[in-house]
Amino acid sequence: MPLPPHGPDEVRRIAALARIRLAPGEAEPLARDFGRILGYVDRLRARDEADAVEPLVHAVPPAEPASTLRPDGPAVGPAAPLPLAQVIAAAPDHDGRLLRVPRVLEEGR
Amino acid sequence: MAGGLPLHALPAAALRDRIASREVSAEEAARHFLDRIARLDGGIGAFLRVDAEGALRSARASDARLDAGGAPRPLEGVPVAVKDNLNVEGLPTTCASRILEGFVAPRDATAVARLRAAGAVILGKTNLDEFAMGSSTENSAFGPTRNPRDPSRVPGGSSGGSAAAVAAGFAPLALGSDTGGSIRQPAALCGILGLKPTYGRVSRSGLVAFGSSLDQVGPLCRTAADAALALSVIAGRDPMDATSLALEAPAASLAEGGLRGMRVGVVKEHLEGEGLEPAVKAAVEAAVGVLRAGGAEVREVSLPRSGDGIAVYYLVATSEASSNLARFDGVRYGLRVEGRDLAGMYEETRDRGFGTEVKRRILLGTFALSAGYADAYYQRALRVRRLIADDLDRAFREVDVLVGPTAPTVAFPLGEKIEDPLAMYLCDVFAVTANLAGIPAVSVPCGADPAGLPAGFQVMAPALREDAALRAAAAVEAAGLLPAALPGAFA
Repeated sequence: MPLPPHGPDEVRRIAALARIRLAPGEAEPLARDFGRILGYVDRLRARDEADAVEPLVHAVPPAEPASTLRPDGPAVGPAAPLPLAQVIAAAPDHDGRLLRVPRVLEEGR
Repeated sequence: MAGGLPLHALPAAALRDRIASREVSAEEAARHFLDRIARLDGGIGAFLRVDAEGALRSARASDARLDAGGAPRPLEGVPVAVKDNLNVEGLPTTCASRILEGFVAPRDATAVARLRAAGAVILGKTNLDEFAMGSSTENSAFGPTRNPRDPSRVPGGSSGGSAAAVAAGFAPLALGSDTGGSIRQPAALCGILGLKPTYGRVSRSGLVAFGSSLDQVGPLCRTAADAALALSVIAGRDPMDATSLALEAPAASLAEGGLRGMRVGVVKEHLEGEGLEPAVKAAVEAAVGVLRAGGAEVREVSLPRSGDGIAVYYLVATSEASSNLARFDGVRYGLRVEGRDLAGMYEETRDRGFGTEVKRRILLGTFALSAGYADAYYQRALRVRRLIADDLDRAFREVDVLVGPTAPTVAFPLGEKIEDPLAMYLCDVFAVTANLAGIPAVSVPCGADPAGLPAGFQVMAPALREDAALRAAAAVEAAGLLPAALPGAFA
């Protein structure tokens, strides 16, 4: 496996994927940190025995879904849904029952 | 005051008993702690928000209940501080981040609701590294927390506010969260006890998610008995968290029973770990001596892959974080910064809302999950995670608990590691093992360096064996290896 690029351009590419704008001058120090951190985690490549085992996603597997899922209906008690107005009120911009967001499609499209 | 010790020096269980026996009212107790916070927290910064009104209301309700002849509950009138990544209804949840500006929790986290149902009095919300990402509580958008043992030094992190609050006598009990050492490492640096329960023991509902396969809520307090008491209150199946285990909460007597027959494994790689300060090593060896003298059978145990823990952790935790923190998009919660269009709004909001370390981790996780790299990084880390868990399984066939240092150093000066992310990550080199494997672990004070800065002793146990970890911790605690005295005003 090739060593990944971790220059400022690569950091900007990743930032775009993560929907984070980087201010001018912010990518360079992040690229330097990336270089050191990825250099450090590179030690995992030397663990040849890792190829022989399955990935461990969840150390304590949850019980069977049948026993963990709530009945498919309106919950009561502490699991009851929050009132809609309360959920909407947590959003930075709303209009009645709706969340307001910037225009997604351009005019005329 | 009856019994000698001032209220703020009492363990939670002892304070609860004083309140239950009406020696002191819950309101007096609440006022005592609120007064200390008002006088002393300016120099520490443990709290982001103190809810004096709410605390006094709860305390008066406890008193009214006892006045009416009601049976005292397990934490009747006990003041508790809550890390500000756990929801407390009606109070802001900030995660020490600008991005949650204006967000008020619509309901209690399950752990908080269970504390209240047990009679606890919620004092307020404590500082943390932003979104629990850090080991010093310097990565807070609202300024750092300082260590009550030496305010020029960090309290550790990310539950540094909760640890400092307990150490400073602002609360006998606090809640924290531990994704890669965030309860145990600050407990160690502040000279108190911290418990990370088995993954799934305590509901994560109402805890703002960071690394969902690693996160666990737990107590910070002064004694193993208090940790057991708190766990008996907050643990247990919760329909709101599908990963919570379908088990009853353990008994409050979990830390009792002593060392008889206990087989203790000293983790060779942790005691020979790079960067381990000699004073910490000496303190840990003293604690091992206490266990041996107390009747435990002590042997050396090897965890050959434990040195890979930090590398695995910083790929797994950041990958999970990059996904979890995608929800902070300027639409649903808190802050919005307008941009040229929808994508621009996302980018501006997340740029302005997140601090440097959070951005660094989101980017690292996004990279580790990205096309072309996911197999080499994320999947690779998960495979080594299994090797680490397998090493632990093997070790626990021979011993009941595994012990070593909680952190390689004592509390370090503010600013020392903040510019060096990798050095900061290595603070948790011994702690992440337990998170990766989902097992319980305790940090208990085991001494101090020549300057009086505390060292922490970590006890890990197999899944669901908090009892073994707490019994060993109780034995170390009983030896009184760390001088109790705090400087000046905090005594």
